[in-house]
Amino acid sequence: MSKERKKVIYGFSMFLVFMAVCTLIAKGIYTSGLARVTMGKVQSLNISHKITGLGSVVAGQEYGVYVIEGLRVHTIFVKVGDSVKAGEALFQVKEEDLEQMLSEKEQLLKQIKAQLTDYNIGQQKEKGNRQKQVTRIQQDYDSLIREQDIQIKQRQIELEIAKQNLKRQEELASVSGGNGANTDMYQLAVNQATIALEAAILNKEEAVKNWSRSMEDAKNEAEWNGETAQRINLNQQITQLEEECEELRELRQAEGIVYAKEAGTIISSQILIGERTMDTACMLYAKESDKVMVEVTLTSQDMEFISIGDIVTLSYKSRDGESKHIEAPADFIENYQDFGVARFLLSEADKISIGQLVDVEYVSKSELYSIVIPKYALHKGEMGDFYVYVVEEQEGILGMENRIRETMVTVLEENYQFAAIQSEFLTKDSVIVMNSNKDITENDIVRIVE
Amino acid sequence: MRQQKGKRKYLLRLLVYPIIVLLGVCFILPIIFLLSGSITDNIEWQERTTALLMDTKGYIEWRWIPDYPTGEHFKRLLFYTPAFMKLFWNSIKIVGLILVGQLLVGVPGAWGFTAFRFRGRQMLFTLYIILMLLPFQVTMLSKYLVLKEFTLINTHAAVILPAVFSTFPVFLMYRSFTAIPKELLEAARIDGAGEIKTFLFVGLPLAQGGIMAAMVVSFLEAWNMIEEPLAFLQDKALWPLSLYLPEIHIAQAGFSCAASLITLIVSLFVFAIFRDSLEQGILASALKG
Repeated sequence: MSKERKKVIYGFSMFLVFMAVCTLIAKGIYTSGLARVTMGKVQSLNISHKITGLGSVVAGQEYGVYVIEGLRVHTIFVKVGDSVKAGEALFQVKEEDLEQMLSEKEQLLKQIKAQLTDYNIGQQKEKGNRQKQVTRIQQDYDSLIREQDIQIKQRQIELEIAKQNLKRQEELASVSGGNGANTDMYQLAVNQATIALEAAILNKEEAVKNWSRSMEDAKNEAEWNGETAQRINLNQQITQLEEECEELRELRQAEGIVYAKEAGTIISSQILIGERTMDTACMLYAKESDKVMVEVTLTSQDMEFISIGDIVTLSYKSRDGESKHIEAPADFIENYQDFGVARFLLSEADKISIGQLVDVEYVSKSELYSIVIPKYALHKGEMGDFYVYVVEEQEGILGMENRIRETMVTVLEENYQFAAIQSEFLTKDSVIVMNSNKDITENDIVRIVE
Repeated sequence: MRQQKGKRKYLLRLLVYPIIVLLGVCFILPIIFLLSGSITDNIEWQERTTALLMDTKGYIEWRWIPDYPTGEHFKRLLFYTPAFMKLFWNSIKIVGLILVGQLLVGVPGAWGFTAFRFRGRQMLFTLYIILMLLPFQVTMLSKYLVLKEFTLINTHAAVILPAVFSTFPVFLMYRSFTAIPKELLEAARIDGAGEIKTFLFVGLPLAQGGIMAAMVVSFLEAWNMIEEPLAFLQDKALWPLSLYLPEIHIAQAGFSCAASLITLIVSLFVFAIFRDSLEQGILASALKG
């Protein structure tokens, strides 16, 4: 073998070695550039929703403690959250104010009563006048009827005369065989008399009808003995003032102190020392015998998963600092625009004070979905549509390649961790891309790692 | 007289040499074009070949030495295109196995036709020549059916086996073997050499040039084959390098030129190694023929 040929063979060998090295480098670069994805099988799961919130214990029903408006508060004996017994002093109003208000109210009561008396006298006079009016109308009626009756009588006589004249003329015409022109004239006179009679009768009927109406109105007015709005108003004012005066007298007798009528817990106080009472309740309290509830405000999203009767877990700290967990059913649910309010009924055995803060927790489980994936494996498109990545094996120059395919899905339900999806391309045995170390898109070639 | 003869020879050379040089330049021009194109960057390619790429009227302004030479295409081809490498090694594997197969099958076949006289020999050889003359398109269907029966479709064997049993190298090597003087073979036999010894120690060394020439021709044919892999290999992963090149489009012409050059290098090496044998083999075959 010539030296030259040896050199060429050596060069060719070096070329092949170079190509082998390049192959390794190219493959290394290519492989390191591939996104590494983790695959996972879809699961059949229930989607659970954990709802948490901070609620407070509220009374099932609230009762108000009312006193007359405008009294100045002197002392308040209780505060919100206090349990009070029946007959226990709640607050005291200033007695001077009380005396002054009582005298003012009594004075006002006298004035209104005097107004009512004046009003009644005026009403009696008015009634007498109306009775006179009725008598006059009756007299007018009698004279009118007499006049109408005379008119009718006259018309009847005129008709009778016209009829006799016609009869006589007809007899003469039949005897002499004269013409009928004279008979027609008499017939016309009879017709006119008939019409006049009918008109007189109608006039009388009309007069009677008009009179009856006037008479009825006058009698109604005369005989009416009911309550007028003014009298009712005055009577109401009197009743109210009497009640207020009575209440003020009772309060004066109690030296201005307001007592609890029933045992319960003060849940709200609207009065302050030195300020005047208002027309609303001075204090709200819950009766001991009534049930208490835990009220919590939740987001609209959370409210979708809770319904009446659902059992929630309530956690709170007892007075001795011990953590306690109890279960309570949802008794009341109300949805507003952006939030909702739920109340959970506490049993009598649950000794929790009104106003105490309570952690509310509820876990709602959905139906069993056949295709459930972790939330991080679900992707959202620009148009708000959802998709998952699946891997499709495809023959390429470098052998079997794993190519990424986007599969559109419909999200049936989701929580913070999982999403139940539906797609005609996915079954309960489908395997999808769970994780990727790089951003991937449709048609990307990826490397699957276990 | 001698002086006149020398003068005529000189004039003939003066006339022929420029023609040879001109032809040589024409032959080497595509390679220079590939070399130039492979170091021209994409922007310059687009600037120079706008008329071609945009299908508008005008001329291509080609420059043999680019304004902005770059090795980007080679870098991309060699380090960032594993597909090219995969097909390169596929080609090496296919061509290597074809050549080894032809040596194992074709050489003994050709020796058989030369060394032995048997009934139907001439007819069989004529059949060989006929098969050699048939183009691939004619035999493609029958080859496909046979390969399918043997479940060899979409395997490298579908390309390698038909080439191993190709008749053309047998024909070439047969010509080399027939150039060996019969007396020489007779002498070896008289000296006690068996048929195998005669083949190995007399036939093969003396026909070495022809065998090498057949191998070079077979190499070129196998290295550049397109129809066979296209017809019998569906998986792109099995394709040889010759099928990778047509996938390179005009928009990456520089890359295409670089790929063509790398593909060409193997053929150049093979030619350089076996150039002497090729010349001798062809000469021997031609003389005998």
